Amino acid sequence: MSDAQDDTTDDERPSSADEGYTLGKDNPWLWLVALGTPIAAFLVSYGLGAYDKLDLAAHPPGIRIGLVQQLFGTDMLIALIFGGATLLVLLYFAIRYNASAVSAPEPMPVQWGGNTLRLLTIGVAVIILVTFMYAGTTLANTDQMPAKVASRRYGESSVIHMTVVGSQWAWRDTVQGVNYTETDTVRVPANTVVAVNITSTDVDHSWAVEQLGVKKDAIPGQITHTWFVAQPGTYQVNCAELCGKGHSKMTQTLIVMPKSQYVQWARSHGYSVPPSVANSVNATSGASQPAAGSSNDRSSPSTGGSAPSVAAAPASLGVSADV
Amino acid sequence: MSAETATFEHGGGESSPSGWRRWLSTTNHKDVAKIYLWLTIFWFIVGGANAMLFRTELLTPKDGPFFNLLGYNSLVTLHGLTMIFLVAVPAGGVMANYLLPMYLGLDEMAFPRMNALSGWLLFWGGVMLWWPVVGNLLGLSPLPFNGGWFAYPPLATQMPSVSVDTYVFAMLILGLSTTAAGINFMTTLFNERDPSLGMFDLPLGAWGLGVFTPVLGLYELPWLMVGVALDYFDHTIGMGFYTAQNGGAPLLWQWLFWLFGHPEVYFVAMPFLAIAGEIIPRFSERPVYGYRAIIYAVTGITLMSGMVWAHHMYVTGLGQIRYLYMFFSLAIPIMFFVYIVANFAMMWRGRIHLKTPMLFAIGMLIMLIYSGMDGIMMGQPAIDVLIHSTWFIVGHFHFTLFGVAIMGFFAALYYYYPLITGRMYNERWAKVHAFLTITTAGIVFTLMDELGSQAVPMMRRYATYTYAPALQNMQMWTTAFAYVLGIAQVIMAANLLWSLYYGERVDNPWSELTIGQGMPSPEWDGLPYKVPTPRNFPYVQGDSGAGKGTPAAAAAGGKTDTVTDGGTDAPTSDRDAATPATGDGAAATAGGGGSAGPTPGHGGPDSEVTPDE
Repeated sequence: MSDAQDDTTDDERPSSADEGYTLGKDNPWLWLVALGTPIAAFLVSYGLGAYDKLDLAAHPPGIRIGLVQQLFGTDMLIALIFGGATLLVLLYFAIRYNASAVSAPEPMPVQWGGNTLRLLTIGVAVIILVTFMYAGTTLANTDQMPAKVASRRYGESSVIHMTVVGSQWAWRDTVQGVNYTETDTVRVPANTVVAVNITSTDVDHSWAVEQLGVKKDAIPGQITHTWFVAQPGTYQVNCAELCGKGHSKMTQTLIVMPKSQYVQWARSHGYSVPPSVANSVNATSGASQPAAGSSNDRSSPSTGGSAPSVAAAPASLGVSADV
Repeated sequence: MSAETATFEHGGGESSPSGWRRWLSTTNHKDVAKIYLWLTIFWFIVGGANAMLFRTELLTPKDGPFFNLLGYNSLVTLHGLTMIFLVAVPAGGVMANYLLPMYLGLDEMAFPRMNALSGWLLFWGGVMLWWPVVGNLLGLSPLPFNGGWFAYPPLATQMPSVSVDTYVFAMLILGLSTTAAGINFMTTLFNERDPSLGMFDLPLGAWGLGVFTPVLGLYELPWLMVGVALDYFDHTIGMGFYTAQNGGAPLLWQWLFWLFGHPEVYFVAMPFLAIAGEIIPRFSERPVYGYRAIIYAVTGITLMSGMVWAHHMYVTGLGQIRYLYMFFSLAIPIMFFVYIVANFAMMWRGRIHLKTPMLFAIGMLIMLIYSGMDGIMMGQPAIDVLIHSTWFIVGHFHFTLFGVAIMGFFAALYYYYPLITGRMYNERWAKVHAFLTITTAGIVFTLMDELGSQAVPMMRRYATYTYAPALQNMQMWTTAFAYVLGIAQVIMAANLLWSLYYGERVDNPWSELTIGQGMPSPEWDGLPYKVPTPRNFPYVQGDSGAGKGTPAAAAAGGKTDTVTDGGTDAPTSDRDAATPATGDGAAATAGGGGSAGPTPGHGGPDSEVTPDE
């Protein structure tokens, strides 16, 4: 078929003689729009995403989420720059070297040989390696932070334990020491390491508090662990593993209360107060009260569970949440 | 040429009414490919309509008004299973069945009957998967399987529905179909090809369809088959592999499933990543750049894809092994980068024809890059905690599965449709399809990403989102664009069906493109098959029996001369390479120019060593 062609030097190529089918003209501007749409979507999505996440990382509602959002935002920025550049180069090639703009293809440039490809690949590998190191560091921090926080900053006494049991289709959360069990809402003290043990009685679930960067599967016959430290606020808890009919309604509210308010609340409802929480409230209420207000000028990001009298409580431990 | 035309006459989809026996009894690879093709398109439309149903449901945050909670779960499960096992997998089968023998210069597969078996198992697997839906619509059975496409036990094993069994058997049947097909493709490539053809003489498409795809399929499918078999014994006779109360481990399924599930993604993308290596150079009027680099990179991707499965399980409590899986997961984009740059090099300073196949191929590259960027995020356990099981994942794998596998399938389909049917599709409507698909797919999947990365994100498989009603606005936009995306696919199906009967008859609508490439297109040669000449691809060096009369072969012959002379002179132009229109005599003439296409076409790392080998 193609040997029926004779070589012509003008720009208009002859149609294939034996078929009568010709390649029509392209409209590069139309395809600039079409191919540009997903690229624009990428740039907008990653641009806004990086901004939002880095912004959130500056004022995180919890230690863990701050670390994760910092990593996420930085990654998105890297992806925006390099991925976006790659996409724009592709778009440029598709439009710039369109058949209506180019009369003949240039021969494959010899100088763009193996070395260029090698160097580019090594460059990408370096970027990926840096990303890996950063991600690994963050992973180590999010994994190990409870120990660090508990020993160095909060003192061992400031850890409270919570058991989460998922069953179709509700969570039953028991806060150790407080000894109360709730389903719709669960209350924990702020700026305390909450160590969570999670399991399930029937099928797989996953206990997720997105705003705090917490998600761990609840698997029958197994106990999984996670932790968080949160500032006062109201947080959404979801089930993040398909568990049947009521999956999308297997939600609860996590209310993080300032410690003194938490103690008040527990006592007024007749629950016991974990010694760790009670002690830290007692210890700080006398000693560091004056410094409390000034050492933390950051307002809590979410106000659902806060009461007016507790503004000093987050600062009473001398740390803010973006450690 | 006349023989070729005759083939098209008989090979067209338009069989005479009395010809139904032919379709039931056929073992011809082209006919089997057509069975695959129309099954794929049928299920694609059905699975897409299914998606439109639950997209409609998501217009409001509350339960209803169209489907109840379990109905929604059934729909998303069916959508996933249909699109993966009845669309994305057989889409590769369409191309492999039709093209692999042609790429290799054969007239048939290694095992024609097994090939027919694959086709019919595919048919019955689809019936098995969807029979509970029919039963449910007729009021005979409860809702179809609603345990999610990954069917995590104990939920999947405790489901009181016959469709748990049909799920298992559908997976087994479809797994057998794909396994048989994989054995067939692999044997065809390794054992049946012309002995004079070395592995590095094969087109990229042949590598993809006959090596990478079957290797992945034969590696991954046993895990799924074993997994569903244990599932079956678990829920029928209580052997309790996955049931904690009976001493089993629910996580066992996840290990088995993701051993299958991650390579599966590469399995469905691989045929089209490879075929893009045929389409992109053709529509750029350039030879392949970095042939060996692409093959090495894709080989690496193939191997690595089997080593990263546990990144689907970061939140199950894996421990320190997560660092290893993160390392492997992040390494994959490096190899994809080589693939992408090689494709860029073909387009750069080429003469790009934005025809429908090329548009989808470029769209596929865009989606590949996009999903790769998303993938880097979720390969990191620290971030994965945030986005696991949210719609960010949904967006990501739609970029991968729709953006790469399905849009790659469209590229290949529009490219080879004239070859398969002997008729040209309606170019205008094909471009409408391309325009709507590329734009709306990008928007819809980006919105999914956005929904999944809000502070309170949209969780996966949530029939209601009353916990975050603020997402409704974005959901409505997603639904609106998804409708357009769905309509575009109906346009595609209608166009292909219409063109089957009324399309313009053509032999090779792309023959104009091959003039300057110094690169043959064996798949268009038709019957009688011409064995691809050894070493006739411009990216391979060495001795050549080329010069069989096609410009490409002549160019290849010329290239050989050049290489043995050590001549790496400045090439004139690709079109000069094609000047010899009359065979051997012209090969010498082509010598100087022939290096234009060939020499730079060497895989980057190989170009220096080429002349010595």
